[in-house]
Amino acid sequence: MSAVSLTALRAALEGAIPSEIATCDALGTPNVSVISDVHYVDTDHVAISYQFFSKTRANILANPHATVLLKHPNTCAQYRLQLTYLRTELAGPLFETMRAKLAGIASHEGMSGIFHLLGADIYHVDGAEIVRGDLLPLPPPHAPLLAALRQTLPKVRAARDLDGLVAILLEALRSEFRLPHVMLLMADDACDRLYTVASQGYPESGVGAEILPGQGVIGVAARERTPIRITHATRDYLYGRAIRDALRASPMAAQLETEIPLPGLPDSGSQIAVPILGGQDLLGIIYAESPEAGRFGYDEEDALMILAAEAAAAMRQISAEADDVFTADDLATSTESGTPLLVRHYPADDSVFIDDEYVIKGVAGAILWFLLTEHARSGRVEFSNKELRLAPQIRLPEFSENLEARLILLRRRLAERSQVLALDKAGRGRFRLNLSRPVQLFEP
Amino acid sequence: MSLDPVVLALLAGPVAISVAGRNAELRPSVAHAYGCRAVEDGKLLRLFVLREETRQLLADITANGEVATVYSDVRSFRSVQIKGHGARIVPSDAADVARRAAHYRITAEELVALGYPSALAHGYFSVPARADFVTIEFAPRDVFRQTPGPGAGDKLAEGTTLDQSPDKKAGVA
Repeated sequence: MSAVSLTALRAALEGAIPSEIATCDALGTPNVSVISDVHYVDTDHVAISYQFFSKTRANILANPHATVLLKHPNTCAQYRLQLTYLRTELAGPLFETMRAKLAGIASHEGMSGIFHLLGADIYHVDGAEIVRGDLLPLPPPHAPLLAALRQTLPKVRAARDLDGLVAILLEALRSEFRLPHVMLLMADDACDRLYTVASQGYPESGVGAEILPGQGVIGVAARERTPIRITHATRDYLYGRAIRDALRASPMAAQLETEIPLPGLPDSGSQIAVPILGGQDLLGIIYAESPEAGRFGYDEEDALMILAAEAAAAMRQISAEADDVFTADDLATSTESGTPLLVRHYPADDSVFIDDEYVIKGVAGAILWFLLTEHARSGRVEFSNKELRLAPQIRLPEFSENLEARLILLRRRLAERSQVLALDKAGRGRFRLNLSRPVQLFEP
Repeated sequence: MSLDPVVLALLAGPVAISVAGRNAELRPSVAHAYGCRAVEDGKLLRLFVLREETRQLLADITANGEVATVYSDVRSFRSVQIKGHGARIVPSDAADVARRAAHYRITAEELVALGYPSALAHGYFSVPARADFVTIEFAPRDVFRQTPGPGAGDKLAEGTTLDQSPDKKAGVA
């Protein structure tokens, strides 16, 4: 039996195989019980879920020593940890991470509704030893994550605008990180919602779909600003109908996007959402899912958190840089011909319909309507981010990454919904409205 | 005490087994057991452990005889904990060896039936070629229901079976 670093044992801390915990009461009677989850906190700490007041819990409150037996889910290795109980956390990021993980384990073990997290018991790891070594070889990793980071991070740092950054992230997640089903969501500044700016690997992109903090894997990751990972997808954290119902029931329903559904795999096995954090500010979420159970482990979480941190730095850098200066060809006009396109705008929620088909609402709807009315008034087709920020009709959030993100989602949404109307980039902080037919505007 | 027939049946089935002891400083020790054998309706229990995996546990049991054991059915997570004083380390006998082989077979087969890959199912309970087994023997004193969920930790009073809830809790484990 040899000593080993806790971090090297993390695969045995996924809750794939139940563990055993031994404790001892003050009178010297030992107790051993099966536990569903020992959670890795850092190199010196683990957390164990407190689900009901058990003898184990009574014992550690009286005598903080505990010993845990862990099994590796792939190699049949066994490890033993010597622990000392420190404290219990009843809320916060670690608690929510464990609650989500426990929901996945409960679902996996047919125990949904039985496992409820009351607290996260934090233990110091006094020692870790290998009881028996690997019997079976480790399966090869899904993706070489360090190499993926090394390849991707310089590209992220070199991104000059948000549109480019989004494209780099999606491409890297697919080709380097081997994650075919991903979504990128941005938080709006008031942080009362997240909206999808890009996705890949779904029949419908869901660009423009919104979600409230606290809902599902993405919403909890956003609210707690912590990675949330589900190794066995569970109803407790699924989206679909429940999320749309919650959006519709919200007091802000009129301002929320309820028409565009969030994409999702019908038989999702594993899910992970990591926050893109600029300091304490939530900028967005990177989300990935897989039909395979147990697809995302601690290593994937680490890699995506590093990627998200670099993405956050790049977003801040991009928003700090000045936009291109306006030039004379701003007054260029487009050549439109054919039957006029009927565009309808409802000011109550800024929803926009093109030829009676719903396109978008909210901030992106207001932007689209502003561009079309300005074009109708002056014939102008080139616009700057700056004028959008200053336009009183649009009620834009403060930071420019948010405006850019709204423009990206509007551009992608238009590309999906209309062959007549398009937004194209025309330099840093500038874009062009491309119309192939004349437009007739209507506002009831 | 002899054990309830339902408990005896659980112990004879496909179960994962762990044994715990503690030292003079009340630090617990724990290890996996590779099967168990009930003698005389459970008046005595014999658990089979690998010496090289249980140095601290064997030292603790030799020093003070305190033992706690848990048996968890791999199909249902239905579990019991059985505790005793005066446990001792004895050489494994022929009946232990036969029982250990049977436990390995039925537990691994059940895991395969549950969908675990065969290599994993057999791996969890397999032992090295030159395994040095010893037997931990003790007389059960208390039995506790340990299945996750309501009633977990309830002490099974005399005459109460694993499948019925006692009217009032006699203790909690």
